[in-house]
Amino acid sequence: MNPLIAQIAAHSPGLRDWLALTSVIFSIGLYGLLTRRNAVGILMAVELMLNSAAMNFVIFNRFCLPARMDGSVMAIFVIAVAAAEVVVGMAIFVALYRYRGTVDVNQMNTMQDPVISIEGPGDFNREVMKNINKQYKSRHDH
Amino acid sequence: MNAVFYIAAAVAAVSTIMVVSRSNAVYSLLYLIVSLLSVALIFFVLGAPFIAALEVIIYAGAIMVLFVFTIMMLNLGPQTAEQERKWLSGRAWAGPSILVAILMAEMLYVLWGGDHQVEGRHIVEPKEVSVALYGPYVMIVELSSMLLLGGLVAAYHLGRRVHGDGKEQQP
Repeated sequence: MNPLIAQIAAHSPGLRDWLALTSVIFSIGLYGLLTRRNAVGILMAVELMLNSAAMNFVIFNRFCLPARMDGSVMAIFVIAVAAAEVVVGMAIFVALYRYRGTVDVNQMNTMQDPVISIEGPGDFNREVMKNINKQYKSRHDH
Repeated sequence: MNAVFYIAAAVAAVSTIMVVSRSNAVYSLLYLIVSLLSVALIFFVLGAPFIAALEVIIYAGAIMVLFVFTIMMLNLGPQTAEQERKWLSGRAWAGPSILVAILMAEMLYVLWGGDHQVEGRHIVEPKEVSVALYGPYVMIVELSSMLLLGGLVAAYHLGRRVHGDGKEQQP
């Protein structure tokens, strides 16, 4: 066997190796968070970062409190929070897509009616929202 | 067992890089699933098999279904059919399936060929985790249940269909 591979195989992974892995994953997730323009891609990057945080909980549990399981419990809560976050995020993206016809975050820098013109289901829903706004105004203007 | 860690870590790093570098959302989703599976294997090696199972069930199962559903939903239009043909071309799943094959080989090695008793490591059993969840951590369980309920209500509110007259559609 190649001596380098043999050395790697014989080397027991310590705290530093585990933490190096989680920090690599966290950094890649942060890079994706900052560079992606698709909102779904950004949510994926956030998932990666949360995942590495959960891994950190389990790793510190194993190396600092080997007889207990608090890190595992916290990892379960991290997973629950990630699930809730994904549900709400996806609902927001679907609603945004209905209204604007895109999930590109570069085009979401305005909270008011978008001026971009997009073909597709966004047109119909924009009509719908205009109607709703008119009714809301007529109810609250007097 | 040590080599298992390094190979799984390499698979995790490579698939994570692919997640952020692919421009097609479906490609990066496939790589994200590989990344989550490799992290599950790492949890397994770390002595937390319960968390590994939860990772596969909740992350790679439920959350990924949500992602796939949303990506399918956001790609409506006349180009859908052609896109769907392109999505599952051989190039799309060749990389993820190679990485997953590596993970599966590791899993089989752990199951059959590996050294099972490694340095008397403490394995976190599901029973102790459950006892702790409903013992000292019961308040956080309640809080996360409220969080999940809030997420459910918010998702229903945001995802409801609105008619032109401003009234909500009756289901």
